[in-house]
Amino acid sequence: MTKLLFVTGAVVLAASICPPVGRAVAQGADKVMPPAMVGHMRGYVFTRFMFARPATDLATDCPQGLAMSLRDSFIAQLPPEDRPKAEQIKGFGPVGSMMLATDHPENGLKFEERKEPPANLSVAEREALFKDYIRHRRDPGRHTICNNPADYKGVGYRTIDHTGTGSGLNLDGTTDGHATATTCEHKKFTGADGTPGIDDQFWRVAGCIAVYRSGGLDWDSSIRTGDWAVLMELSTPKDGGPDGDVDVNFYSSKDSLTLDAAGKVPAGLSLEYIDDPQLIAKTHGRIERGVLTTEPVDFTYKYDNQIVHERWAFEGARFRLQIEPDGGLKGQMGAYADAEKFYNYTVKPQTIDGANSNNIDCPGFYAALHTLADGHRDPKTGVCSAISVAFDLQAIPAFIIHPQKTADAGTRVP
Amino acid sequence: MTITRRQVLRGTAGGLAASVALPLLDCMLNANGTALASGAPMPLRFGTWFWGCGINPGRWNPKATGADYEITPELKPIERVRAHITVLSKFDVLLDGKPNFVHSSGNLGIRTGQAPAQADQSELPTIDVLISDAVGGATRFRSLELTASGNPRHSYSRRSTSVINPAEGSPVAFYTRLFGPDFKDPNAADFKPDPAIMLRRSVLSSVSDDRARLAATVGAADRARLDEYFTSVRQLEQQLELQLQKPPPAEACVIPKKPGEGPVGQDIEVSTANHKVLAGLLAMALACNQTKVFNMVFSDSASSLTKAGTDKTHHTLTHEELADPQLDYQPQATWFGARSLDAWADFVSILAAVKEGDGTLLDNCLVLAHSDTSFAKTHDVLGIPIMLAGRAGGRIKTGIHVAGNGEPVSRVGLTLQQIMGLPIDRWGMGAMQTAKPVGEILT
Amino acid sequence: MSRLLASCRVLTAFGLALSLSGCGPREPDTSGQAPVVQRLTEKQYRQVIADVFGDDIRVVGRFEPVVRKEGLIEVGTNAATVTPAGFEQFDTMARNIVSQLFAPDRRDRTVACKPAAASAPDDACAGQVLAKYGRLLFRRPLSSDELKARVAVAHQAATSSGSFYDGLQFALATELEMPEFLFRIDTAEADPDHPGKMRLDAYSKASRLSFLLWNAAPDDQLLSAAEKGDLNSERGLRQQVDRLLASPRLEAGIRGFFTDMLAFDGFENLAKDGMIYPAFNATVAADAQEQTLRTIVDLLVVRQGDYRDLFTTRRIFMDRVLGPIYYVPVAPKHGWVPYEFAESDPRAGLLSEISFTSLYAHPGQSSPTLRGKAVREIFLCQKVPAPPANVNFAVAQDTSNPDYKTARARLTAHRTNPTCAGCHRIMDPIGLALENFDGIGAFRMQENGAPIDASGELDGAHFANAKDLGKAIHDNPAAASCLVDTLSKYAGGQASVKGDREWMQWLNGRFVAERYRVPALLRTLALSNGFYAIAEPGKRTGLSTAALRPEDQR
Repeated sequence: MTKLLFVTGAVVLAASICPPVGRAVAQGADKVMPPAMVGHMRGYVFTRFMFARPATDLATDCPQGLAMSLRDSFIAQLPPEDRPKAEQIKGFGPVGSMMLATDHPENGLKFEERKEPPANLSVAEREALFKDYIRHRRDPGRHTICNNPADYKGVGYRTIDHTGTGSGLNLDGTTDGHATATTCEHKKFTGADGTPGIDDQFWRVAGCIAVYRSGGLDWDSSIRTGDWAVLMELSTPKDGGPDGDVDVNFYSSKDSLTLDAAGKVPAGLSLEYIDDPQLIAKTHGRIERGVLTTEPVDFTYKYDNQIVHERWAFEGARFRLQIEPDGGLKGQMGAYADAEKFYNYTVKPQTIDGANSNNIDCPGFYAALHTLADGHRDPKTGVCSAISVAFDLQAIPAFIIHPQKTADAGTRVP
Repeated sequence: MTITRRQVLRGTAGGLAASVALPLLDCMLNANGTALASGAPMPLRFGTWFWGCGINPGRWNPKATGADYEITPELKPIERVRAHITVLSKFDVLLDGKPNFVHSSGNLGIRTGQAPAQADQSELPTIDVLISDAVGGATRFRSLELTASGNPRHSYSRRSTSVINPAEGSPVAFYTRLFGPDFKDPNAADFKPDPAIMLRRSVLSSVSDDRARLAATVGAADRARLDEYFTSVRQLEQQLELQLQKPPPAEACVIPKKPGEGPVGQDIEVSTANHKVLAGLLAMALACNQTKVFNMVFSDSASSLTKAGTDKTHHTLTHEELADPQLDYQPQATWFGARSLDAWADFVSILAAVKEGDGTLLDNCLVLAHSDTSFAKTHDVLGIPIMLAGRAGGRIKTGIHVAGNGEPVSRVGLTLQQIMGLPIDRWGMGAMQTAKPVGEILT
Repeated sequence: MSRLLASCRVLTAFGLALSLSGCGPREPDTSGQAPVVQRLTEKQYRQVIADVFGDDIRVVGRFEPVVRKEGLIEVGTNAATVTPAGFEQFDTMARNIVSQLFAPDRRDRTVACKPAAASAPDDACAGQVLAKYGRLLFRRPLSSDELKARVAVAHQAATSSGSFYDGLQFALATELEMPEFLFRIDTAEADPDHPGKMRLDAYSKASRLSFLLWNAAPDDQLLSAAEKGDLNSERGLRQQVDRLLASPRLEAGIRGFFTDMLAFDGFENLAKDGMIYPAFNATVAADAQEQTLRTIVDLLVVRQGDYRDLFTTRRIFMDRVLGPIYYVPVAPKHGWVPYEFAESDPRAGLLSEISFTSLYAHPGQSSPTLRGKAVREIFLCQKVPAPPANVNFAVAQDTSNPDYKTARARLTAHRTNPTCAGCHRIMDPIGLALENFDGIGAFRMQENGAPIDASGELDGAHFANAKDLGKAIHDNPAAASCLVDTLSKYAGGQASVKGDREWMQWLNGRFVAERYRVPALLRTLALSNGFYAIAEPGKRTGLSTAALRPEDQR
């Protein structure tokens, strides 16, 4: 009896305290995104295009812990007697100067010495000096530990070593990663669903760095601020059904994405692609039971994020995309990237300051990229110069507009 | 003893006490602190406050009358300002055989003293217009109309069907109109008539040059409209005239900070927030004697208030929502009603927070709050909830509940006009014509 | 009558496929319309300022809303006045406009003459400027008394301020605040062709014509034609009418009319729930209106098409803002591009355009009732009775009932309960045909997982979907006669009177004979006697005989 009263009371209480929400309108079933057809091609824009992150725990991936920061690993390699003094030096500027001073005395800096501006400078002169200093530090030509990582030795750089859970695609066709004509011997991962033979050497390189494991560096947030986007066109399967052979084209978007009031990219945007052959990749694929897989293709796209403006080039890129019930795509790209260039895309633009704040050890990262490289095998030397990378992708339908001949309106679509 | 304003202000840096609230010195008041030393009584202000789609009568109407009435579930929002409010229940809009035009008959019935013969049409002016015609002439604005909804059409201050005083929905625009370049601080140290204003005023009078000739060339109905236009011109001339005179000091007048730009609309949170800002600005406008008559619409008569993420407006809910079998009322629709009365309590609090004389600004106000229906689902115009706020300078009792028991609501309108000093002994038309004020609220 | 037939023969001889106006049944007499006093709308005010002073002059201020009458703002302006708050704004606007006109870099463009001294009044120069602008602003020349009064203001202000230009600036500002500018006031004169009767004077005719065809004040050429007496001759009137119709400015007139008829001012305060319809925003609202107006102008003016095709046309205009909502590709990054829906596309006609479906819907859901009511009242001129106050909701729908997923299901009670059905079966079946378009006009096949059934019936014509509804409206004779009725109300600023029924039938007949082409209808209207006929004194309103203008006031 008491129990019953309690329950009734709770109902009444709840109704009076909690403002009723009204009937929240059902999303989902009503919100299917139809294909965005231009001619006989379906268009998509990738709203997510970032390094694949398997849902694994740190202890398994990095038993020694997260990667040391540039600062810490640098101090670790100093003579013991210099270490306490070095520990005192905090702040990015002084740390950067510290590393420059001890390794390259020709920079004119001694350990702990910072070039302080003379006291009698005006505010404007100080500002100009400071701007100059910053410009120098960002100068890719200046010799620094992150601009020239090959000149430095990494100390105990931590990589992921196991053959357990990882994320990505099988690029070399082997299950155990043995050397082939085009690839080098390397360890493989197993997918979370049990799929063997996953290649993602880049994850081994970067997976113990905090910002690569979670949140932190959001490599593709600049898609949603309109800086860049990758576009894809899919032909309808030749037999007419949902399954079959298809043509697949990739482009870089010329137009910025816009967001709706909910902060999402809406389906059905019209986006023109950049008419540059280097940024256009065409390949074939097959859709089977709602999954699209493509043949390998060399694929370059334009990437813009704050000060980084690069064309990221991949070889032998394979795509595996699931067609979702709501009409979008979800899946992965697995591809090989030149190790040297990849360092330049990812870490080098960050400079010492960025690397430090993100706990990235430049020489270690760089060296690992080369050591763990598994693709583009040199037939003569047997050395691999490209590294396998996996990306997580999501796409929604978008109308791909072919480059317009004239600037003004009036041309028919497509 | 007399102390001049100049003496008080000499000590202030720069001379202009624009952002300093000057204390009301006892010597500026008469012995009782109830009027200015010059003998002029504290200005008495009249206002209306409106919300759409009413209440649930069974949960709103108190049973006890007088000062000890019980706070019913739907009077809960006003409990915090109970002392300032007079609750008037069960006064009816009598349709007098005319159809009940949804969301129109109740509202116009209360405001014009007659149920309209056609939806949304009345050639009678609303009560605030009658009052502002009588008392509004000496201030910068004859009246001020505001809406928390952002839509200038949400105004029930009307001279006739087609002549509606547009409502201000943007806090920034309202601020600029009140406290922008044309504002004359009543508490400013020195005053010099601005020659530019003098010129504007004399030039403006030429606009009405042709009044007589025009009147002769148009028909009667058009003449009335042109008359209203010329009255509006005269009102602006009046404003300019006032700007050429040193305004009487307004002790409670403090120039507020300019509000920031923000969204306007009928999402309940947006309306609630804008309502507070507008009420604050209005309170200062009243304290600075910019007007004596005001009208605030919180939500329109078929309340279009919405809650983000839900698909029905307040109004739609009043019709489509089923009553909860255990609660015996429509939870979501009632929620909006509670939020509306919450906003009314906000309004009363904001006016009560401004000190004026020996009391507050609210003490010198008479505010009529009402809705367009009692039970919105059936558009019932009997027992439309009515509340008064403010002591009207001591002329009315607050903190009590008066039950009308089916009396025509025009008795309330009559009483209010009489309190405001209009020389009328009856008001309302047809079945709502009455000569009996609501004595229980008079002191 | 013989003159009519002669012109018919002449036209036929030249094989002109154009308007055969003048041929056909003779125009019936009307009882005339009451002279109007119409306040300028915001659009008209802005247009006048742009026309008289230039596109670059900014109009900064708020226009108080006009209450619709007879479903039109234009008729509402004939009952509107200026409230104190409204006049405050007009005063602010006027002072702002003249201060731009008298800015140092612009002053010499505004004032063509040079005063004798810059620090003193100069009545001659001031008079020149005030007369020139006064004529365009008042839409007729100032009388000598009026001009004297304006010059006196300039003189006094120049003396007080010690500046000729300041004085003139103040006087020009008053012209922008006077009722002769803010209101279109019909003036009548004795009709020399019909002794004892009155007619509109030439300037009132010019005004009426110009606002109908261009939604603007008469330009210099039209005013000159009025001055010369041309508008009182058939030939002279025809010349001006044809000039106005041939001008690109006709588009503004068409836009003005349809913006009013479709009640697009409702967009000013239209809000959609950002969580339910994240795609909707102010830019979408603005472009939706523009899209519909472009569709209308393209069909009616550019292609000289059949008005009824507005309900079936597959040709529309698109831009990148609207592309995602319609879910169609749009090639150019900026601007508008013509688009044609495929035969198989569910969209065709005005009712499937976002401007209509989003305006007549709730913030968080569509509304078959609102849409149905709008179709009845706007496109078929059929009044829907007001809802009864004491509806019995005991039979009301249960919105949380899982069976009632679609609007059709939820509105079952509307159709089945006798009290409700009377009115709702006039509206709901129409609106239910549009249920494939959600609250912002985006297409959907289902609601809450249940498929949408868009079939219905309009006055006996059955249809399966929105496109068929469009056809049903196209074929419904009320559609065409409603347009004629609405246009003539718009043109005259008032409802037609029972006595004009014959004339309305005649005008309808002309519209049909002209194959429902709107520019032709405008021409017929603009050349008709009925358009200019005013009621005799005492017949409609109290038009006093004191409206005579003494000759020397010209």
